[in-house]
Amino acid sequence: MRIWDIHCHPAESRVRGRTFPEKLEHVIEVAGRMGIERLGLLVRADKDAREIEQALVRYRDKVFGLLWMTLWNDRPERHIDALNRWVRDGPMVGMKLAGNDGVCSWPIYEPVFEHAARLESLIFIHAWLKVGGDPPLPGGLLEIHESRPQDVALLASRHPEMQLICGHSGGDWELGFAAVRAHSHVTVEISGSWPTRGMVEMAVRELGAERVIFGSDIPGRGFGSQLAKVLGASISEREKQLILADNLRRLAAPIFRRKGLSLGA
Amino acid sequence: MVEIQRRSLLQGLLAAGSRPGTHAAAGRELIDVHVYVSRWPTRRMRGDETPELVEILAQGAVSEAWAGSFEALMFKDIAAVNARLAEECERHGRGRLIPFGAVNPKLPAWEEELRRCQERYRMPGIRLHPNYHHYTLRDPDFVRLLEAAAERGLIVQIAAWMEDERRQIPLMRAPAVDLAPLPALLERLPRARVMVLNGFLSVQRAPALVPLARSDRVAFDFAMLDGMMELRNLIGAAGLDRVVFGSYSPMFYLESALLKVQEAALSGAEQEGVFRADARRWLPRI
Repeated sequence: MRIWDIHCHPAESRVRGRTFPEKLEHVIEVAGRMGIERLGLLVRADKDAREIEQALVRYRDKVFGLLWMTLWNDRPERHIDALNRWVRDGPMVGMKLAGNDGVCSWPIYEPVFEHAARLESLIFIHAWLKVGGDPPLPGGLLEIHESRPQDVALLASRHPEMQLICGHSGGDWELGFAAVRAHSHVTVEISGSWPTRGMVEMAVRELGAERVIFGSDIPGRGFGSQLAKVLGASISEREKQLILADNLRRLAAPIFRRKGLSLGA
Repeated sequence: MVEIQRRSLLQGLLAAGSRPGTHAAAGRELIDVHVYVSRWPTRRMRGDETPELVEILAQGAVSEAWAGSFEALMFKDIAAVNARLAEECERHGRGRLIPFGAVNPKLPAWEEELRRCQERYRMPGIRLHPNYHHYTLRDPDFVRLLEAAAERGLIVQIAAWMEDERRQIPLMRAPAVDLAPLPALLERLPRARVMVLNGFLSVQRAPALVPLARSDRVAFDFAMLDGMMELRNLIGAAGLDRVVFGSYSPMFYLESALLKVQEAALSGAEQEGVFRADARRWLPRI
């Protein structure tokens, strides 16, 4: 099976190594042991920018980069500048919002997403529903700058041409799949939760295998636990291959081709 | 030879066109200390019928699995739960399933249930669910149960966590068990043997791990453990002989535990310990 992983955090402190290149080499080594061919690096570029840029060029056949952005702490124009610097003119192929980076459905962020789409950038949005509130309800615990899968769905409803990736399948995936189901241009990514049996089977049943992609979220999660969600699922070998690599390769193809990056044979 | 066979199993999981587990050579032994029979209260899944579970375990080349029952979480009639558990293991397990009964020290006459587990059903141990039964490890009733189980020479498995708290059904919220009181208890009870199941997400977030691992009467599974190379970290922190293979099947894909072994790049001797020898020290072949 060919495996591409869209969700890696090589710069985190718990990854072995002193420098970004050292950490990245360690991650590549472990991924290689697991049969993973290509790694999506979600990296902030506000420090170690030169090292990150060099690494993305040096390991261009093993990794690709998504710019990790925080939208609420600056003006949209500045974020557009960053996208131009790293995606339009630089080595990266996408943008990523994490759990505290801005609710993707807020209208103020629209210009950023629109610009990313014009660049054919991958758009990866962390989305999590947490039980909580008073009375406690599924999805009832709201973090101020965190997107829920419903926010991804809302953004998708305004932009039917925009390819969006709903990170973590919304966390509470039984609800997350339902939240984005109506929007065929939303793909779910499966990282960041325990390898609960039935998760990927439900995704395939409700969305179709073409709308599911593999991500690990290392080092917070392991390659093994996350790969198991696909390799252990009761789905066909063809569906596994779509999820493990082919869907992501299809989504990434326009920007990879424009940048002259290899999609593999 | 054994090392090669196991490497074949693990590599087989990643091989194109393969069915996980089918690459295992016949005759190898893999002991899974952490599986469940019956249905999870809020979701159906493949494996929640015992014949399916046995099939999953066989595909994963598990030769022996220690089984509790999901019914133990919510049912008040624990006696019936344990009777069904014993029957299911006997009827479908073909010697592969070893029942670990439930005892709730907050219910009346738990001492009789403990006795039945050992004397009627010949169970080698019990599995406790303190968070679902609403007691802490400081509770005097728990201490009495641990003492009574130790007197009988029973293994005590403590299931410290069952499900991500962020996505639990609101009516069934159960925070993870605080393991902090356990090291001191083990010092007080020199015959107690405790296996911690689903104890930690990561070694970094496990303050009780190192004090617990000082005891040679403790072992940990790694079904819940997650993070890149985290099994390697667990072995480093707790010692190889404290780590046993637990998959938490059918709730988790069995492949998860197997692939963690591959990710951690365990040597042949380490795999032997994790897959078999460490658990076998706790429970000699029945």
